[in-house]
Amino acid sequence: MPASSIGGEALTFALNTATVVIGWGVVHWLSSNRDREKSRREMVAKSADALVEETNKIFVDARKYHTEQRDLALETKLKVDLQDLSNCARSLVMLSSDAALLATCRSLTRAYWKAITGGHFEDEHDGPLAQRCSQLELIAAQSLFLKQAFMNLKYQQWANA
Amino acid sequence: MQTVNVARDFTRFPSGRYKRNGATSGEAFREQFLEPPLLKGEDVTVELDGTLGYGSSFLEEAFGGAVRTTKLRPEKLLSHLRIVSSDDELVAEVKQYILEAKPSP
Repeated sequence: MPASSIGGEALTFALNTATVVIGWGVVHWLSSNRDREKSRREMVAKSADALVEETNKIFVDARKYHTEQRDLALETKLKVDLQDLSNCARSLVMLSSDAALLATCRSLTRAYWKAITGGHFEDEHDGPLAQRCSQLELIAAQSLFLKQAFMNLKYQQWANA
Repeated sequence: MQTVNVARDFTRFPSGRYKRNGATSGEAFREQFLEPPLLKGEDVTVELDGTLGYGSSFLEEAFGGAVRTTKLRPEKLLSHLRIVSSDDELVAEVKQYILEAKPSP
């Protein structure tokens, strides 16, 4: 067999091998990216669900706090839980790049905080509020807005997919 | 420029509006850390991170109350005051309390 023929076959083999390897590399990279993106979306969704649940728990505690005699332990719990909710809402930026939705989540978390602690809180608590008072209605409204914002962030993950 | 870190220099558990209800109130914080430098026209930086969490009444009395007691116009007070926090919304809320406060007559 002439040397040029052997060299040609070797070159063909090398090119075929390189093509297979590169092709495998590209497929693997694309597949990894897809899996990573899927995991990211699921993590955002899971985080949003957890934040909705936390918002609900805080709502129950807030109603109890404002409609009963002042409870110092519950007062501390509310502050800690609201701080935690705020920290978690801000941390979502590490998972999601939906800047507008994240900003809405953060500002509504703050508004929820203000609704609960902005009046009749700590040394302003002078006895139970009536069940239908405006502050309780505000807390309920802010709770709904905040939960909707978390849900919007969750659903947007699949709208972008 | 003075810097006060609320959690380190005052309390990790800020609570309440008035001193009569506790030494960790917004009024106590304002009198101890904000009024002295602001009344001298000095700048002060307040670092808010690291506490258990703030009630809105603490923040309003500490910062909105600074407008009422120093009688500085809100814009003037803000020019001497720097609020630092990893929570942008908290910083915005404090600034809002300052802007909405009215100096006492």
